[in-house]
Amino acid sequence: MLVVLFGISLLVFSMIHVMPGDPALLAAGMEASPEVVERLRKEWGLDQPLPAQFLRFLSNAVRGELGTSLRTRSPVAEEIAERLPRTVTVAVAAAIVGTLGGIAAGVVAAAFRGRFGDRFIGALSLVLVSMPSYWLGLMLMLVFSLGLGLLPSIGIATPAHYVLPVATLAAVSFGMIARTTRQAVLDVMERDYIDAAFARGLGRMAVLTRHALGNALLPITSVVGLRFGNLLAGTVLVESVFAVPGLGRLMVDAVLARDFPVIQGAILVVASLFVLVNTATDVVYAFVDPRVRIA
Amino acid sequence: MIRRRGLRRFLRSKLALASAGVLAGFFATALFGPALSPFGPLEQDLENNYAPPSARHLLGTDDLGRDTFSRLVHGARFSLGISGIAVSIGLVVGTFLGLVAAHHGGAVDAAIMRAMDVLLALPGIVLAIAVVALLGPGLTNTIAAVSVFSIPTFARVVRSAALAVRELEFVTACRALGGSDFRVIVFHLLPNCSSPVVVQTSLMLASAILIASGLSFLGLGVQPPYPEWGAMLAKGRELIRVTPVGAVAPGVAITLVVASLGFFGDALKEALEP
Repeated sequence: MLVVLFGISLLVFSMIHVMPGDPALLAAGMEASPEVVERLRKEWGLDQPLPAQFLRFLSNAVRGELGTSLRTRSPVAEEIAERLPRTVTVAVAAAIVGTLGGIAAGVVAAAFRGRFGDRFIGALSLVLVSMPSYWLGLMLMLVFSLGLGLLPSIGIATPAHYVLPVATLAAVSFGMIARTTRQAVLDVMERDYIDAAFARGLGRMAVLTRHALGNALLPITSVVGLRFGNLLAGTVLVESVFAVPGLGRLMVDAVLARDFPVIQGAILVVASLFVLVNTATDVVYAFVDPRVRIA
Repeated sequence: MIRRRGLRRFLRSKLALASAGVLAGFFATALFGPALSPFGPLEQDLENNYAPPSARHLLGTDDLGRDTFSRLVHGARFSLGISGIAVSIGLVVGTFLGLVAAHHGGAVDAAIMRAMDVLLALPGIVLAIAVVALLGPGLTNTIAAVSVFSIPTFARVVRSAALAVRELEFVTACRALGGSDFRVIVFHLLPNCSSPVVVQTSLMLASAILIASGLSFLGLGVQPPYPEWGAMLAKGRELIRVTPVGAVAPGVAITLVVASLGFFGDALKEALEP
């Protein structure tokens, strides 16, 4: 994990050097006098050798020092800290809704294998997985806020404003988790101990929830972890649909304005979160499956 | 390389055939549609803007009176073209890297695969945004961004497939007979990677369409006035209160293509890897 994080910071660091043009000149503006540009260059250490610059970048990043936005002149760390909670709120809420709903739907589909309920859930999950998330968001907005007038469409003024973005993101996870759960439960249902449980006279629901689901949790855990990382990325698109001023929107606006310190900071934060979540998934995995711990 | 039995199984699956049909339809639309579409994609008719769907304008018109149906047809060429070209680039570069990594092993392998790990550690859309941040928005840079996104997956798939055959007897035999690195890689490792690569190409095209249209939706990909589907959705979002059709139609097209590619890829997998 540390190797990957190191690689990501190297990648983000090199962005500013790979792009055409002089960063100091870009920041100071085209009309700035050579002295001003020179001063900026000194201030940012751009006159030092690349490895020294990278070390400086790395130690600053670890201390949460991400530079100053070219656009708003405020510290990048502050800009990110202001928006990150909104993104995390949406992603976490969507993860909870999508996971619980997906597991429930997957178990139902497995219980009604081959019948209408199974086919319906299967078709629904496939459609949800294939839809671009931002389009699903637009459709939900069209139906629930413009059509029925039940929910607000854009912004984050009230908790109700979070419903549609969360639902949009949760839908994609729901599809994937439902498919995985169904398959995992069906795989487990073929084991001998399930037959044994039935033989002991346990009801279908009890076997499904107590014996099958517990053992099916393993593949489900890895998909949930994977999905949560993707949810963070998915917020980039969904925030744009519903005008949620979160981290994703910040990143996109920064790219459009060529505000490099903000782009670097935002990518670094999103990527680190993504890697941390994936690592956390591996740890959880070890808890769910004792065999992994030993191996 | 499709084995007979695999092919038969593929043809028996109704879903696989249906998705192949849908894909063929979209492909034909991208090829011939622009010549047949009733209006030009940039043709404005300001007196007829915000027109509802009718016989003349099947899906209505947008704020500038441009025919949504014609734009959708032309958009097929943009959306499918971008992902097709980008995935081809990713396929070639990724396959090359994967083969080299598997064949040489050791430090070369470690260096290539760690670099791929870093690229895969970024969520797809964020990686694409990072590339666009460097190069700037636009058609060619969108292709570049999607290529970069698709390279590491191909490299991984090819490497693991090549590693599986590297130690088999016919490869050792070739080496023993004095076969060069080039000969071993091209005539022995490469052909044995073809099935997983074909499956991956189909699935990757689906992701590529989602990423490319996502970039354009954010305003970072294909720029207006060109009718790429994601860019059309961005416009549709603005006009959603006036002409909802514009926000619905491009999404249906994307979903149909992506779902078909998914079904098609799964069916291929069944057919090629029994």
